[in-house]
Amino acid sequence: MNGYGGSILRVDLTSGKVSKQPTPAEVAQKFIGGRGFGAYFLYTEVPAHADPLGPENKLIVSSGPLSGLMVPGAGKCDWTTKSPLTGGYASSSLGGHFTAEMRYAGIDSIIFEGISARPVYLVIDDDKIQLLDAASYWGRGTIEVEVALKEKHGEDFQVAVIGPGGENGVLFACINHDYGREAGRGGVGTVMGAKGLKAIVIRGTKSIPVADMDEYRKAGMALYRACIEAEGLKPWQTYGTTIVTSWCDEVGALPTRNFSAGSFEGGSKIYGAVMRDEIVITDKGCFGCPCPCGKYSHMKRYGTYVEGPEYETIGMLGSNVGLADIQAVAQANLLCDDLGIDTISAGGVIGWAMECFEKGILTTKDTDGLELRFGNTEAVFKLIEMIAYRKGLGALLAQGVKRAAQQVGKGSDKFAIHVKGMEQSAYATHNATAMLLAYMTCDVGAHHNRSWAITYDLQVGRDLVVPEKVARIIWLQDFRPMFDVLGSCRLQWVELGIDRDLYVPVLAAITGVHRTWKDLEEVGARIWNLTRMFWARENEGFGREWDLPATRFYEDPPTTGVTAGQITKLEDVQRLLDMYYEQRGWSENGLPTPETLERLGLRSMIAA
Amino acid sequence: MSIIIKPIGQLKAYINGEKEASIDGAGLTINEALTELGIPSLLVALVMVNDRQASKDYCLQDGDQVLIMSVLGGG
Amino acid sequence: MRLYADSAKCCGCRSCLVACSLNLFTENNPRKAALRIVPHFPEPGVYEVKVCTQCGECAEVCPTGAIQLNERGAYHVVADLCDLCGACESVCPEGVMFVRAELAEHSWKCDLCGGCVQVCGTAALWIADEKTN
Repeated sequence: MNGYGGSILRVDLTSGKVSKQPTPAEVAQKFIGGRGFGAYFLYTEVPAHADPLGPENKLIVSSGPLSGLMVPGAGKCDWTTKSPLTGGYASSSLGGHFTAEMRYAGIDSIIFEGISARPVYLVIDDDKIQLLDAASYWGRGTIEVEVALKEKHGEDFQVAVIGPGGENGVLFACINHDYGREAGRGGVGTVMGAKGLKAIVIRGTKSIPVADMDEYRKAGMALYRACIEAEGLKPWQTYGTTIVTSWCDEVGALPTRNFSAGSFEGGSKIYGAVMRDEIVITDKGCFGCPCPCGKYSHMKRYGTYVEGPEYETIGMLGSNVGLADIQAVAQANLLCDDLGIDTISAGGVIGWAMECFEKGILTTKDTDGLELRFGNTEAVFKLIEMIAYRKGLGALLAQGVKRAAQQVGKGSDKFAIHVKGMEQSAYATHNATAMLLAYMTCDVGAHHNRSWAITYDLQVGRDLVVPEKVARIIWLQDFRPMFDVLGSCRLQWVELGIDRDLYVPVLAAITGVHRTWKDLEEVGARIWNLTRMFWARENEGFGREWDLPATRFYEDPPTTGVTAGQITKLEDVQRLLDMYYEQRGWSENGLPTPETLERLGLRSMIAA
Repeated sequence: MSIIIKPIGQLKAYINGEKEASIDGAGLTINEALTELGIPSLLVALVMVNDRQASKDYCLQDGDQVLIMSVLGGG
Repeated sequence: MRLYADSAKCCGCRSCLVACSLNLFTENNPRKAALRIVPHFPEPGVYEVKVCTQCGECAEVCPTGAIQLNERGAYHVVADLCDLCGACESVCPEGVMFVRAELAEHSWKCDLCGGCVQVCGTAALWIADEKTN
């Protein structure tokens, strides 16, 4: 099949057996690749009600048809599993160079099954594939292990590795790669750790075949030209995602002190320009990217280096925990990376713990003397470590904010900022109804990257509750994640504003199958509905209740900052859901109707 | 003191689709310049003055090259 | 004329390597490119780019005369004349002369096609005259 590596690699960690099958053409036709493959294998192969940390769950990593080719940003792979954090669908995107190497090794997806009795790591060297003993690496941080594995196997290998967080079962553990890129959310690293898999080391030296070489080269070059000639290239290259920090502060979207406000008094200390001046040394890019957003930094105060911090980390481990100090935020970023836990969820759960402490719900008796006040840098550093090793209060926080609040009680669930058990990422949504809906209905929990709509909210009226807003969110949800399916980054379109139709000829030339964006969005809708049904299958009583936002966003207006006094009404929250379900073709309780499943070609899959 | 302001992408719509607008920038802050051009400040996510991010309170100086951007798609 | 690289501007994306392999071999394979990117991570956290400077050392030592000047004034490998002896690889001061029998039946090097320059988004690569650069 043109445009595909050609193989699905299965790794049975229980038996230690490794096997390859040809990539099924009908799955490629219906689900294309990347996140689409992940959703397909998750639904069809993981048995209902499997324990996410047990042998029946699977961890699926998939490249896409664009990965590894001469296409801007063709460096993304998708990691899909049943989430130990939410009990539902987890899908996390990883940049860097891992996906390209999968493709050069001829692999479209790797499916990890079972559980290894002892720690192992997988080495893929073209067709030579082995599971090796990882005892000497288990327990060590991700950075030093990546160094060690490259020294042992070769500097031209790519490495994906978990840290103590994943090994110790922190429910929001991540997978690290290329010294600073992560598959961050939903506990994909937790599943990897539960399976006893420390790392994947991969090298491929084969070429990737395409259907029409001349057309592909022409269309690929046109995409590069569009990126390089984009007016916004220089600002984006200079600041990456930190471009938005000051603006989010200005419009009340910067999460502050556990989302109690949307503007931060210390904000100016963590803006993009300050970060660039103080710590950034190299612009670091993923495979194929002409507009590198990665900012590799050197924190002189600590003598350390980190890729980041990215906007999300600045929001969640900066303003959200009261840190007005970019070097401290960068250091917190590094601690999370090295220990292998998601910076967003870490910032969410620490912010919650701090609010508990400030309110007297947690005291120094619970924290082993640690003063969990907003702005206490040492407390943030200490908590990250305690979480990774599940020590003291860390054992509670490692379960995520939903479970932690359930256990602590005393009304702390009112300010546990999550949807479906996933901590909300770094946009405060007290008064931004499209973005609020985006968080409510995101397929993995409260994550922003499916349908980011903050400018849109400001353009049309932030508190407006109208069908157009809902239509916008649905369109973005069907469209943006398609980049995860294609195995490429979406930020070239998102941030540089290049014409998305430029992707159509290159995709056709690579796969030999012509697909318009309308065709792709239909695949997007198919995947969206399939993973919705996964949530329903795995969670008794799944429905509208699960789509509700954190109580804070309809009960607790900020008292400070730009959005002081502003809040969304619960009745508007429900109206948004009514309109969303109607437009999606779902029941009043938020489940896809049989007609919708039929229309999307999912009926037989769901019935099976 | 004539200042050239270049809006990127969708912000061009506020200056009739032109590539740039020039205003008499003497003593104006960025915010005041935006008001004069009819560009909603809230939609301007980034202001670059001479290739560096500047705050909207920045006072324009002769010869400044100003670029303004909104964030279309976010993260 | 030769290719120049400013390592400080390199972001490590490897777009150049794919463009290069497409030019030399009509294949998507960064391992068949004629320039090198060397990452230095986690410290000091920079990329190093190695490109052909057209110094001509390879052509001088080639025993079969397989390395000749092309229409762009760049040294390139005439595939039929190369017997993979490896002499060129050992003298290349930049390590951008490639002899890999498992990947190709002849050595390969930069022929100054400019494909890498076209895809580099950070302007880390450019082609210029030696005198005027």
